[in-house]
Amino acid sequence: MYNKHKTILNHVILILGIVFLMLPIWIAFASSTHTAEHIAREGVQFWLGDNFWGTYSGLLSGESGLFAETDGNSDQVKGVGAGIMLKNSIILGLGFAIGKIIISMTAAYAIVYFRFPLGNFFFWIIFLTLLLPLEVRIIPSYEIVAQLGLLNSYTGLILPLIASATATFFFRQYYKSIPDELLEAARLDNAGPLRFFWDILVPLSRTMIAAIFIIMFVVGWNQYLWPILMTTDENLYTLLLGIKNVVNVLEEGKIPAFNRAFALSIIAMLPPVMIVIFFQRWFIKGLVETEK
Amino acid sequence: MAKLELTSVVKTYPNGHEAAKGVNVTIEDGEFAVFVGPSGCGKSTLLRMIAGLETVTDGEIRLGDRVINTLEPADRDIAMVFQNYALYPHMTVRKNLAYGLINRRFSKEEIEKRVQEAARLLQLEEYLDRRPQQLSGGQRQRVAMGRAIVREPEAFLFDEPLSNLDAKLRTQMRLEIKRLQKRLGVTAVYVTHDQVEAMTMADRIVVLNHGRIEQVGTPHEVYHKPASLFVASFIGSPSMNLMDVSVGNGQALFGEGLMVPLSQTVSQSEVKLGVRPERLSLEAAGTTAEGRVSLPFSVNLVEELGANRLIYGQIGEHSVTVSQNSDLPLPSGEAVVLFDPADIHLFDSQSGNRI
Repeated sequence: MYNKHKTILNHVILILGIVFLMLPIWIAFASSTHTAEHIAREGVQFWLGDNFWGTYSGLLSGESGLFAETDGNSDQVKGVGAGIMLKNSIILGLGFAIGKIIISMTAAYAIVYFRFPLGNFFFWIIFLTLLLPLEVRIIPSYEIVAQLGLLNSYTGLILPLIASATATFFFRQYYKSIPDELLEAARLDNAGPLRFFWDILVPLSRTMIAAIFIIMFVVGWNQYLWPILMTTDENLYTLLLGIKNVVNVLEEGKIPAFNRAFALSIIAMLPPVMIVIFFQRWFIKGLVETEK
Repeated sequence: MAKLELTSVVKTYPNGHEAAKGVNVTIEDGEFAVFVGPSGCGKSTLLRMIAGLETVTDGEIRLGDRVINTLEPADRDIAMVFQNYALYPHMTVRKNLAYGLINRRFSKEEIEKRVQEAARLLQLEEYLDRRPQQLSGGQRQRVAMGRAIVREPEAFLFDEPLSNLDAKLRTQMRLEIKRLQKRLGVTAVYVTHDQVEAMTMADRIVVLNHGRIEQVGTPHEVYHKPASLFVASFIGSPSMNLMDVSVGNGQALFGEGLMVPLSQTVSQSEVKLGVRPERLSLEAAGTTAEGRVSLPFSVNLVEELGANRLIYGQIGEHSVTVSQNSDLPLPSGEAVVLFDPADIHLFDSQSGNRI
């Protein structure tokens, strides 16, 4: 009996924890399904309203901005639709993740499998760039991108951030754990360097790729500083920049449409959550076990 | 199929370590040669040089009528079986077998034909669509063999392929590999540190030590006429009894009053004398036999191995092991060992060479 009580107690604690963690998200979601006026009058909502469709469709299409429509006054600042922001965020997240994976896999491949002069030295140089995060080099980076004429472009958003010492390091460690005999067997099987990479290393690194993909997608998704510097064109705004507009609105002394602000947060949260759920199994596998 | 010739092959690593110090050996067409030696003797390095996975510092490796020293591994027309099998874990058995052929642009029909043939030969037909993780050790071993067979190469190279298997499976695979090699008639080089494998599988054994060949010969020759002290002590289990004795008047002096006539003339005054444990027989003191000499023997320890037993003891100052059929009674009290002087092996104390 003792054990049963203990199990129940454990579950109660866990459930309380989940409720505690989920509550803000639930409030945001529930509130987003009400009208702006309703929230302005009654405060945040704990239960679903009937304006789900109105809030989200208006927001995504860009018909209604983040700000309360004050008496049909149409000359107020109107942001781009959340749909466009969502698209931009996804492009940034995917470009970021895929680009980093490609660059760091090939870099690690070169470091581990090819003996070239100063190979190890170059690895440590790559590793040292961990000490130089974007915030430190942001002015020169901006200068370079500006000179290349890449401001306000996806290339300019993604390319300067694409090199990743962390991912290179992970792939390097993983490749080092692959037995040398596999390479030797491939050499005897007439597989050249490219074929070995494509036929053997890439499939073997699946779980690793999945893990890095998730991490890098979320990192890319959450980029804030770089996009805000790089983009003056609203059509390149990401969701995070959109959310920041809520603050702007408050500072301007206007009342944001809280239902749409909440909705924007929910939209900004969904893709990373979905990606984590989808890749979760691989993610854990990739970080925990080395498949041989 | 072809003859494999190694001429003065030298391997020096950048750190100065010499893994092979001028190795000369010719492996005939269709022959099963086993390189055996303790770890670090250079046997694996030699094999990897033949495969092209290590560069050759000096000398010449010739397969058939081609010098293959500098060819890419894939262009040497050899196939290799690795110790850990090195199967591609993400590919099915079929793909594992076919991979080398696909990369050589064989036609689909040809690949399928060869894969099927190899699978039948190795009884892998029902496993063709599985992945290596789903196979047992023995099956993985067979896939590794299959990968070599489908290539139909001039020579097979085996790098300790059985050391990851349990004892029972090892015995079984030993036979299988040997049978397969004879059936295909392909020249094979097999590297092992296990002298039982070497003895049972080889047409000819190449005994290596410190990067040099100690002896090349059939298992029978290597066992019964070891060319050096090293070979004598390395081949055979339990290993040969080796004793420092002095020689005078055609007799070997084991100790005070313990003399044995030698069947050969020896110029040295100090030699190493060897007798195989199974050539000694233990009897009660006083026993004599025609053509055999007897020396007093004091028993220290007895090990029962089942079919036979090992008796550790001493002749004078020398520790000696006797291997005896376990049906024979152990003499109680004073004992002697009897042996035929013709079974004595003599080695130079300095050079270790056979006299």
